Amino acid sequence: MKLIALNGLLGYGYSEVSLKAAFETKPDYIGVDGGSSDPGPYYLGSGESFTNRAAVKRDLALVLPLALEAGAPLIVGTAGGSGSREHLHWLRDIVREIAEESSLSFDMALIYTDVSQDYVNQKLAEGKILPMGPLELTPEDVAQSNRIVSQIGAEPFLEALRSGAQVILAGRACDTAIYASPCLLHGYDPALSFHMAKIMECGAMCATPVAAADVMQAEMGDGWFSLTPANPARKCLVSSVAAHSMYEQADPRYLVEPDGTVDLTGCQFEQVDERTVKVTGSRWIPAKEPTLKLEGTKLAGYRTVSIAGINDPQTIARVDTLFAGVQNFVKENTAGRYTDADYSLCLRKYGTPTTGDEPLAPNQCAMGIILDAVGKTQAIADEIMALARARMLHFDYPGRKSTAGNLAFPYSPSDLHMGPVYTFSIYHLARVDSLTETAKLVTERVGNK
Amino acid sequence: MKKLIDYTKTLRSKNAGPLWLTVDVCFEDQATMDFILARSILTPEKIAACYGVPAEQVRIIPYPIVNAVKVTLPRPCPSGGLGDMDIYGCQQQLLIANLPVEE
Repeated sequence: MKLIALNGLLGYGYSEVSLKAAFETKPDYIGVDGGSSDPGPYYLGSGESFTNRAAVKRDLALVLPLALEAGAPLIVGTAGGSGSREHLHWLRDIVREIAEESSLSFDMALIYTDVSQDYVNQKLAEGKILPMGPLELTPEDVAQSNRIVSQIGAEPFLEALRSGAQVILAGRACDTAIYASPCLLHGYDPALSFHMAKIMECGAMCATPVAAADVMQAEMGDGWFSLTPANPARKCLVSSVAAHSMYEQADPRYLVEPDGTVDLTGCQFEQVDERTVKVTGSRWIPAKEPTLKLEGTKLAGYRTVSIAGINDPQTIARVDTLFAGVQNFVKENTAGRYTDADYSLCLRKYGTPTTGDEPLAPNQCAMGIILDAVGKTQAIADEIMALARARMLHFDYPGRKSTAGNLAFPYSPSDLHMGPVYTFSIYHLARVDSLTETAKLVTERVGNK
Repeated sequence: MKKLIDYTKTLRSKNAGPLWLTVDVCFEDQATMDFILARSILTPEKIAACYGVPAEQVRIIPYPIVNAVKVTLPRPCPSGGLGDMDIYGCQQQLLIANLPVEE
């Protein structure tokens, strides 16, 4: 069985030449990852996609007609970047738009993966929530969470594949589930299926020259899988494939999935031709108790930021003292109105202090600072920044010579109003009775043929 | 004195989820990796002291197939938390890169 990965992330782009070459090998399935938690909590919190709409549309519009013609299902995981209902609908609307513009008709499956506060509270009460690191979870955190998703594994995809859908868009999903699910459907070994999937989900990142923005191909066999980049200018080498197992993984020896773990310690990598690596020996350890990861965000306030440079060596030498003075000044000037719960002011310096003797280019600053205010409301953040920025600009100290101002602002306006700030409130495992209990499958006919 | 980075081919950091950082210390060959491992340059205690995290949460995992050692540690602040300075965690390698290595 043959699979292709469009690239490492929908919207990153890929070579059309690679895509055509990949389709000449008659793939059975096409996958692409649509998101990640890497860009931080803002996107799950806000419901926006961190990927660019036009770029996502381009990546899908090229492959969709080819996939339909080849009869190869197209599977997208973590739709819209973060995989909530809003994100999934964002991607669904792009697919519908392409179908209309290109007069395409097909069956589409949507897999919703949102969970409610009640669901998480119930798990908490039953002692079925496990930490994944230094982040606690209380009922209060759950109550503050504005959006919560579960990261599904392969099982809900199996149901969607069995429905006969030609396009599958999933909410928050393990990257591996995209590529492992078709293999599991056809009875391939789970360890090899997930191991292949883990490498494929990054596109041509396992090849050399490395690229997240290019097409990758995998073939599954009995007791083995192989990897070949679609672009003839790239190669998979034993070293490039083995090294990729380390990327973004806490432990390169084990891949932890919702229903089990792949033990990679006995893996063999073999160079079968100039551009292809064959992998054998991955072992499957079923999970004692299946778990799903939950991700949730909460509103942490509203942010206003100001960026400035400092060139005066005397000021640079005192930046920390000035920062402490600015903090006190803001506190005094908001006393009786705001407490620590209403705002936080984070003052940061960037760059290594110099002696001031090194020549600076005309467009260079010796040190950069960022003033960062997060307030309960945007108005509070704006006011805190107005106070902090003005105080820092005119802060006097003994022996000061550059008395016109301490800061070089690159912009007018100097204050950037960044709007809502979200933080992760939930990043935990939930023990589940069924690996499909958080997933909801909805199918639709797209186009009118 | 030389630094750890002087012995490496690749030395990179990245999030392993928003709560963890993982640092890949990759060497040109096995001899160099063995040289570093034999000198106890990378220990949970040293990493914990550098980053201000508990030593019992730091893992040092040799990955000999590619002559590399993986260092995994909790992020001092979750990705995107108030006070975080590196959302992707991809510029947090310097404290490990600068660890002194005695010849």
